[in-house]
Amino acid sequence: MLRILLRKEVKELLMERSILFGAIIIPLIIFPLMGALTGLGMSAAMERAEAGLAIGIADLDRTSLTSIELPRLLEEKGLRLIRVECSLEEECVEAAAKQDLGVMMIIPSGFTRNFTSGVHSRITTVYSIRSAAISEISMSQRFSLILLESFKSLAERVHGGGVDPRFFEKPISESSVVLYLGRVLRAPVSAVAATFLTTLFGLPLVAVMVASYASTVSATSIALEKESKTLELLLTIPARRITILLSKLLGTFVIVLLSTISFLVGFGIYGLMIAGSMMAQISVEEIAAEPQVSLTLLDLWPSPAFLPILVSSIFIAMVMMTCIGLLIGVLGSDVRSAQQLVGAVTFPLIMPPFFILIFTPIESLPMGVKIGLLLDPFTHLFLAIHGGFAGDIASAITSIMVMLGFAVMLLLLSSWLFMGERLITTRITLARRRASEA
Amino acid sequence: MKPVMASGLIKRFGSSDVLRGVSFEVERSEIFGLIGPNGAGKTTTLRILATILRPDAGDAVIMGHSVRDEPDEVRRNIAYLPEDAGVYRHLTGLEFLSFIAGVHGVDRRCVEEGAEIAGLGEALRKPMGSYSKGMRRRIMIAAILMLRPRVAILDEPTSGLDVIHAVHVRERIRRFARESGGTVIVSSHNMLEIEYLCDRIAFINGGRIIAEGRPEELKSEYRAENLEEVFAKLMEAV
Repeated sequence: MLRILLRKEVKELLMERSILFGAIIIPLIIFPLMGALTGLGMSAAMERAEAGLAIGIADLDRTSLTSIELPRLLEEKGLRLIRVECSLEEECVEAAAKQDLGVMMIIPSGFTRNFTSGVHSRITTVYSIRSAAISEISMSQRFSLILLESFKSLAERVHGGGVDPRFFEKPISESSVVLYLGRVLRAPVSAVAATFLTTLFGLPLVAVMVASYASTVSATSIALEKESKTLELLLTIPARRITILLSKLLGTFVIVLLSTISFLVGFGIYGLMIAGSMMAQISVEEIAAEPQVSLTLLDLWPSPAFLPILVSSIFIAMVMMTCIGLLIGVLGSDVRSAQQLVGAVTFPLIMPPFFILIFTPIESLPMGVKIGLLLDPFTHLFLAIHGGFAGDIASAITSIMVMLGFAVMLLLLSSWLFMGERLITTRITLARRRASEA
Repeated sequence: MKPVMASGLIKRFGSSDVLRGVSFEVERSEIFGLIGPNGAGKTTTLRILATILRPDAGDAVIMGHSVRDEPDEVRRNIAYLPEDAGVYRHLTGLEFLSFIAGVHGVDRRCVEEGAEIAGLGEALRKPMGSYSKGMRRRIMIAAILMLRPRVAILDEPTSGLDVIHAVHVRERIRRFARESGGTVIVSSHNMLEIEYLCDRIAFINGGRIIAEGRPEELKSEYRAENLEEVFAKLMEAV
């Protein structure tokens, strides 16, 4: 019995082309495409970064180990070294910022004495993070690994097998300084990476949720009127169609605003819980060894212009999605088909730029992919957020203006569709087209 | 000037000609019935009069305003009950009547009149999602008639209703035309109902009006017992 019922259910659902298209075919196309594009962009970014990676080295110990043997080892690993002259750690950090070095290593005075005695030594690394993309953060973490490997090799050369084996496992500890937007953050690069990830993933995720919800609400709002057959009554009240359209838009905004507040509260609590556990982890593993200050999202919070940029870009995305939802609501024959159409239309618009731009800056992408992404209005949402976060206000404003242009176009299209009789006569399901009944 | 004057209405959907030149006029206080089988063009005609659809050719003038050129003015003079009109499930009957009164900018006293026309008693305070089909139709009719529109356009007002609800609805429509002086255009494929309700009728088939007149005149002209027989003879002639 179950088998017969199950066969009927599966066949019935798969015959609904909207389900087949939206739930099965689209993900099969979109995710591999996103993976390929992201991989392409990341490897391009990594290759570019590695090829031109200039590693600063500030040697405050000035021994043959630190000035000859260690540099030779690092060069063998394929790193290009730039010697930085300074005498105090703060001075060296300033020099790294001035010379715009991506990574710099500061070898403290007395390092050789400790190292040759088999005593765990500490070095300071300075990372300059320019763009909030995972590929750049990965580079920093990769360098950290190269550094550890190099010091392990150095330890083997210096000691052979005559010291505590634990020394070989981790001959140095790294105390890192992160330079970001002109600020000096004394925190492990892994903690900065984690905080970046929260920002990179979290804020666009809020934007995606808000925007997606707006399209669903507005599509449902129209489709519900169609399905419950109240639309015709509504269209014959003595009000202009534009007034009715406006009421739909504003109604959607109110609901989405409530949803956003609820989402932000929930997400905030989630963020605090994650941050709490992260700090606990850092304190056990790293802060005990390195007396560094704790790092929160507020430490990375960029210029005061970021908040208005964030809010306005999310708002415009919401307007765009509301219009797309209205268009779909007009085209959909009922609530179910409208909601399925919303998914099928908005998913390919939002997800590729969301995932690709988290991993790779748009500049690192091949030209064709870059142009394709720039034609997608939602790419500009993420560009505005990333630009605002990185302090690139001009490009953030450009992205917002592009979104505004798309939003106006969509608004005009929605009102054109809403004004005519298409609102009544157009009914599309992904399964079939139906002429209006007589 | 007559309250409703439709002339040469033509409407196509794709390659299908739904209306092929529909013309008729309706007097003040008159109940005018459009009758015909499914797909004859009744709903399309009424949707054009209600300004929901725009005719491809021809025009209809309601209270002196063209549906093509002055739809906003037309909407100020009409109230339209769509076929199978649904309800806002989360609004109570009273809230719905207040909403309709509000958007039409009429006195709140008409809500009391609407409640009286609906005759649903305490159920008016319940969400309309809990209403039966008959109750929904009654609240919709009440919402239309309480406005005392100059022209009420009612598409299949008793379709699918049981006898009790159908009698109530017909009675309120007749009383509205008699007491308010408003004009009523009603469509139905129930010819016996139309015969009872309407002062004058038009048979529509294949997008054309094939006969028009008072029920008694038509029955006499076609030597028929009732309008169903008239229609059957008309179809034979076609």
